[in-house]
Amino acid sequence: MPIDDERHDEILDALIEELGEDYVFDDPAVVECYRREGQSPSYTTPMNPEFVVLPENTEDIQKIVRLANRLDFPYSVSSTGTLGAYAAALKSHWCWIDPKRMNELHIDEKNMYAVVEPYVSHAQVSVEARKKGLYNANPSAGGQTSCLANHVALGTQTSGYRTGRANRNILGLEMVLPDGEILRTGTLAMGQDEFFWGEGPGPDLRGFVRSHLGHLGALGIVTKVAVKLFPWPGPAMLPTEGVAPQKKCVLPDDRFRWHLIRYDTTLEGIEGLRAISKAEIGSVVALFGPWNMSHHYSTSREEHWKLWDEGWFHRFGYCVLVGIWGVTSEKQVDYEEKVLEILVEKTGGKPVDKELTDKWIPHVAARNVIDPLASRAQRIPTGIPPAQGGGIVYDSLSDGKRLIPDHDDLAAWIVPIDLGHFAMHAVFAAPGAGDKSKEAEEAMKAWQMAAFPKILKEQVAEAGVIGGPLHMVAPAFGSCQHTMAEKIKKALDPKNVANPGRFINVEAMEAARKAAAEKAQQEKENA
Amino acid sequence: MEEKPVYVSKDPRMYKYSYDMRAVAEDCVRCSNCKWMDPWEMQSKQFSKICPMNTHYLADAFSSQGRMDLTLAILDGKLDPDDSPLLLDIIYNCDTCGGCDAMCKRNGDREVLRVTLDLRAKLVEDGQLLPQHMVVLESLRREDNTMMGKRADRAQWAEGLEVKELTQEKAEVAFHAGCHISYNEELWNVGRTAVKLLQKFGLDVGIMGKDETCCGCKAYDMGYRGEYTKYAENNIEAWKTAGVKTVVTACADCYWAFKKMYPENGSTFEVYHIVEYIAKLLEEGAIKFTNSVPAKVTYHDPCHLGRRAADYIPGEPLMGVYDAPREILRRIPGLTFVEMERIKENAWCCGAGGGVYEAFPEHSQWTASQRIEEAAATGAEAIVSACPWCENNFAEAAAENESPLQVLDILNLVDKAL
Repeated sequence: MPIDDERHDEILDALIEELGEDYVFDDPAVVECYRREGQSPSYTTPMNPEFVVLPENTEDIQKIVRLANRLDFPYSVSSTGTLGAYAAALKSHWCWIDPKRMNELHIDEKNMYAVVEPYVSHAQVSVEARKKGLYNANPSAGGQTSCLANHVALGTQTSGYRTGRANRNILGLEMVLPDGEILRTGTLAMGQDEFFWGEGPGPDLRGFVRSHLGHLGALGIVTKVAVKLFPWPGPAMLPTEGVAPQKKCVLPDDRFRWHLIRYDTTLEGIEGLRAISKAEIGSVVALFGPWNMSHHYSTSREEHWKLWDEGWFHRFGYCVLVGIWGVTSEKQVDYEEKVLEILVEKTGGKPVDKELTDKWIPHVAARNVIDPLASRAQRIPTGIPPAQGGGIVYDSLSDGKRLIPDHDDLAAWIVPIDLGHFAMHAVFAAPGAGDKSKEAEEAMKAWQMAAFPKILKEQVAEAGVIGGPLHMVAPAFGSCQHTMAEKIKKALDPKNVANPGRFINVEAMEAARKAAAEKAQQEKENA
Repeated sequence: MEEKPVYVSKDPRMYKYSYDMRAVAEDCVRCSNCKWMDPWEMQSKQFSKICPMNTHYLADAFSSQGRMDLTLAILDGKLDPDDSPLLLDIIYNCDTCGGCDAMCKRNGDREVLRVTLDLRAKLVEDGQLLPQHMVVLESLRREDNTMMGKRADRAQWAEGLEVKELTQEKAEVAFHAGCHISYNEELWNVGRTAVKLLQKFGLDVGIMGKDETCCGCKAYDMGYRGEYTKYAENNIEAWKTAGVKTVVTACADCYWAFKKMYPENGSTFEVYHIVEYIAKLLEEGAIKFTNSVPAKVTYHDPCHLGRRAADYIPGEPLMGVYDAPREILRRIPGLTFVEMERIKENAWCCGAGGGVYEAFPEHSQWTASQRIEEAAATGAEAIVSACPWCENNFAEAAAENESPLQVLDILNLVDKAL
């Protein structure tokens, strides 16, 4: 939409009146930088937002949301922008809410939780928590990502095996609903200024921020959340050596031991995961294919291919990483190691040879404490090949679609969560350097729809990630979640201004219903 | 399990890093690591950011990630300074400290700072000039310095010093004072101390005196490559004529230009920052500190001496001159040396680089104030550095904030200790 149109000016003036001109942007250079990120489909996202605003607090967010309802403009929210694809503009007069001024952190040491605003990073929480003997779980996306955002969207974390899904570790929260009402849950709802308890009378409204991807701001904007912290048996400051990118961190051996166990196939690796989960040992447990072992370790393309050609990563096989943390005592470490040894033998695993573990562990293992550097996966233009042993490297998503069905083993990364009661299997792909077309996006979606039922059926018990609105995804898996979600969305956001098109696209559903009705009518008339 | 890929990408960039401005910008995955220091090294929430521009202005455009988006928009013809009142400000308000670059390289092989510098050069070439730069350019063109000083006054800092003038006599070692030391009377003592130390170390040293010209670093960082080349060629020729083999400087900007850039213009001189030379002599036992200097100090890593001085080899550590100054401080008797939280490749910039001091003084001072606060938090009495630009900006910020923190050049302490 031309930025000199009347509606644009009306919205701009209203935003400036509420927030001040220093915190409202419609400059083309500013909005240009809120458009893309490295994950499909944002490479093909066509639009810039028209406005970028920087609120200072919950009340500012409330003002913006109320304005959006009054003046009927769409908005989305994203702080560090790591999953910016889900906030990118889809319509005219789109307002991107950037909460970088909302960066308060408070740690309650006694009750073991941290209250965070949107622009507090995992690393910030981590360092302040560790000073108090506490630990916050952090995602593969990295220490620089928003702690609040991870807890209300996606929510997988490196220690999720032990610490659980992030969105189950939310205590009290505060959010601004799409009509501008402020919702506070748990103890906050009881008139107290405390976050320590998240449940309240009646249905648990934390359901708003649960589910795998969360609602992506389509059911409201979370402005404060209390996240559980866990005991940390390590030092306050991480013992590092060296200069980036060749940095090491070796945690004290009496409380931290890392084991890499090799399996020949994904299914055998999964059996290993199951056995470990049942025994309830370990703090960090995950399965990686050989390609993942590379991207966590290699600091350059040259290094990756050199090690690949030397067969280094295939010596890892399908590798189960077990991080044993002596949270209670050193005896816990000894005990869990003994149990692990038995389980490894029972499940046909073999320790990865010492030469490799001595190289890999000092550079990578402690990244499960903070900052896993998953973005290293995207150094190489085509991302991580998902197929057998990482045996396919493709130039385009169209090539991927063509090649992948011939390969049965789609392991990339499998993370048991909640001691194996839930698992996530992530298969990554990224478009090739020259493949950023609409066609590529369609190929990606089609591949997801084709590949995931196969994974569900043959490999793991729970669903993988599908990046798409519910009205597309749910019918493919035979659920009716989308109809329920539609009702909730319409009740909370009657004007459909809160990140419209994401989470659930009510307009698309209405249009589909209308088209079906017209078609039925036409057929009736023809008959 | 297959040992080799069954289908191999035809894209050569898959296998080996090679610089291409557009490709690097496209490779940006918006992870935002460019805004934060290394999480492994973080010591507090307060001092956790690395990008002064993004920390101050917040919106994503004011960051390396933003500049990658803007690079693509400009290359694609989608965006033009005529469309956007803020575009040039966003691109030039970066002090080119390289913090973003270092943090991005933790993740992958991308030279994001190089993209920013190339973008500036492109804009200059296209005639998209920042008005605030013109006074610096004018000063360079008329008087061969960035400080708006007269060429004739360039050698005032060396008045009374008994040192060879390289326009008259040959010498093996050229000491290059640089524009800032030459024209900032507060820092003349740094230049004088440097020369005296080099002479004390037995070196055959000379200076260009009033014929010394700018190193060209600032012009390069601002995008004026023609100006940079002019100074590079001029200085190389002048040193050759004077029979110089080694160039020593006490300025980080000059060091960066001579060490990193001049070889591309044909320079074959050995280049040292004076701290490297002193550390080498200490290591060899050729000199020893005998006087006690009772003080508690902290050290600031100048960007052009630190991470910007690193040779980029994909995967290799970003090694700047970090250890030499620290070794010097540790060996001074009576001195208590404490580190700030953000050091070495994670250092917070002083705010003076990239033309920001000249074009955006308010932001430059804000940046320096943040560092003064960080230095004060260590309990140090003084912040020590090895670059006159850093020292000047810290001194101004400390005065503005009425901070009791002293600002010293490392040579001030070396002189007292010898």
